[in-house]
Amino acid sequence: MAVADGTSTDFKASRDAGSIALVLGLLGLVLFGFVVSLVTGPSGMSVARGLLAFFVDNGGPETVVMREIRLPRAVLGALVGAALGLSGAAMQGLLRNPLAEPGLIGVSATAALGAVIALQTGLAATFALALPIFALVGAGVAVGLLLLLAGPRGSSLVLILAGIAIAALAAAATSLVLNLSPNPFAASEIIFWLMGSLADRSWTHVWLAGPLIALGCVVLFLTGRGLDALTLGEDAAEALGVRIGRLRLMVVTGTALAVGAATAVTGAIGFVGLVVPHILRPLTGGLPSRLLPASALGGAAMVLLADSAAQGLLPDRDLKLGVLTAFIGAPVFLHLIFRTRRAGL
Amino acid sequence: MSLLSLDLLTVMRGGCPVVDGVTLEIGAGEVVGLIGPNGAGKTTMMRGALGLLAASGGSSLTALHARDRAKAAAWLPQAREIAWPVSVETLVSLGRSPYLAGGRKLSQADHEAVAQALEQMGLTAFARRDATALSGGEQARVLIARVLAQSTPLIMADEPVAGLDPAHQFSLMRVFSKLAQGGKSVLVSMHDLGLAAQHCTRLVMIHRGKLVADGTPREVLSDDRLRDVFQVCGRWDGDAFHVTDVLEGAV
Repeated sequence: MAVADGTSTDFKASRDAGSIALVLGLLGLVLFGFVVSLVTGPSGMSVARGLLAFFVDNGGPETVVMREIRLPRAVLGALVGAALGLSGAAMQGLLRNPLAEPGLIGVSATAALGAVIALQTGLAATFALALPIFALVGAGVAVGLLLLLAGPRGSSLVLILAGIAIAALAAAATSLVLNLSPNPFAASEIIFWLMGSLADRSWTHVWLAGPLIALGCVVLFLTGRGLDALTLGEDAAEALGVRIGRLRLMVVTGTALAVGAATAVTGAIGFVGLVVPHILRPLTGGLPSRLLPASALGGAAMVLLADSAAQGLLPDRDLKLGVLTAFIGAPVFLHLIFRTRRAGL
Repeated sequence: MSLLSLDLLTVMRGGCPVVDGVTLEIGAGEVVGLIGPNGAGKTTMMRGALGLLAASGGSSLTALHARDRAKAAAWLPQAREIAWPVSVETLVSLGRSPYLAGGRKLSQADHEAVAQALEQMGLTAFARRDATALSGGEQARVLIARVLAQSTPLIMADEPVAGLDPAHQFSLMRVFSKLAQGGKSVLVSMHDLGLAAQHCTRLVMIHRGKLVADGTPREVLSDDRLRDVFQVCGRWDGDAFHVTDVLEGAV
């Protein structure tokens, strides 16, 4: 018995050490991605000059580029990536489905619709913050509709159905706006915005989205224990003292805050919320509470690195971030298919 | 000491009572077998008693705060869900979650409860295995171990022996009996009347949502009740009970 206890404690210690190593490794990756993002850009500055200008204000344009263009872009990339990764992990935990993603509840689709309306009506051109504010309103409307449709005691299935209905409606409305757009420039602007990008974002965008993303992330981090219990199913989790209705509300509002704010400033960046938890799940031992922090860091690293790659691959063609993340996401899906086939299912 | 008391518990579904005015008291040290044909309302009664679905009438458990209820009664649902590929030990540790207020980590006492539950279900050697990679019967035992790790005075288990091999069916019922000797109680729904008669200290029979008999196995498993409720005939053979035949035109 003493031997069994000893090995069990050793096992636990090694598992804890493993998860600390994973978090440290991911933190390192985020830091690396952040620095790469800082030294990447179209201005043709060398890495050393750029970093020097970043730390020492030389009064020239290089410091302005580093501190006012690249730094907010990197900060926003990390924030948006963390929001997407974290809410993806929470959504998968809530629905107990590895194919769930933050877009499932319709928040990103309605945020995009709000942004499209701002672009189409020309409000975005006259008042720069109109676009993100309209997008945030869109996300808020989605949550309201969702809770109205799914009800306070609505099951996860009802929640998914309501989310799909809202997302489909918002996508249809977005298409309608594009369809009826009399101005081809507005239409192409809308299409490019919908692809998702971090280009030309400023500190204003960071201050607008940052607090909401942070608040959403705090709410999502509080759901870890409840999501762990949900591994056993809703009935067992509720009997373990988890209040499912409250848990569901927390995941939905946390996701809406984080992803709604992220979409409002960057457009829809797909696949991050789906792929990052999927890759990290085996490394965290499968438990949602361990997956949440890992996915937040993994999402931040993925968006930072993908954004730098998008700038590096086609420097003068403005390759959109959302396009690149979709190209990264599809092979991960293929991997999932092959693994399922190998398992003989 | 009463561990569960139901007072005219009624659960309605679509205007029709699925559980109809069940009054039941479970004290300490009992293994209570809940028997009844398919659709009699066994699962619904237990879920109503736990407050997992809306019920009228009284249940001593629904009056409790969610976390206190989780310390008073553990629930093993019939559906065996393991959503994520976690280790057996991690899954069983989930039974300790009612004791982990405010993000506290597992204490030494929690680890001991988990180790004991694994040992009771013969799973110590499986502790590090991926729970989703085990066979159906093994998964069932892992989920029972999770319920044992919750260390509650009362365990409610919905058909826990279904899918277990004969040896594990027997040893599970023995685990329940040992818990009862230690002052805990188990309410267990089951279909194997022989196993129920052999291991339960008391049987509760429900039929069409109503409690029709409550007593020792010998009192409850009478010829007329077997005929009216289960449409079978059975025979007592010393302390063992066997179902011998199904009645004509019953199925």
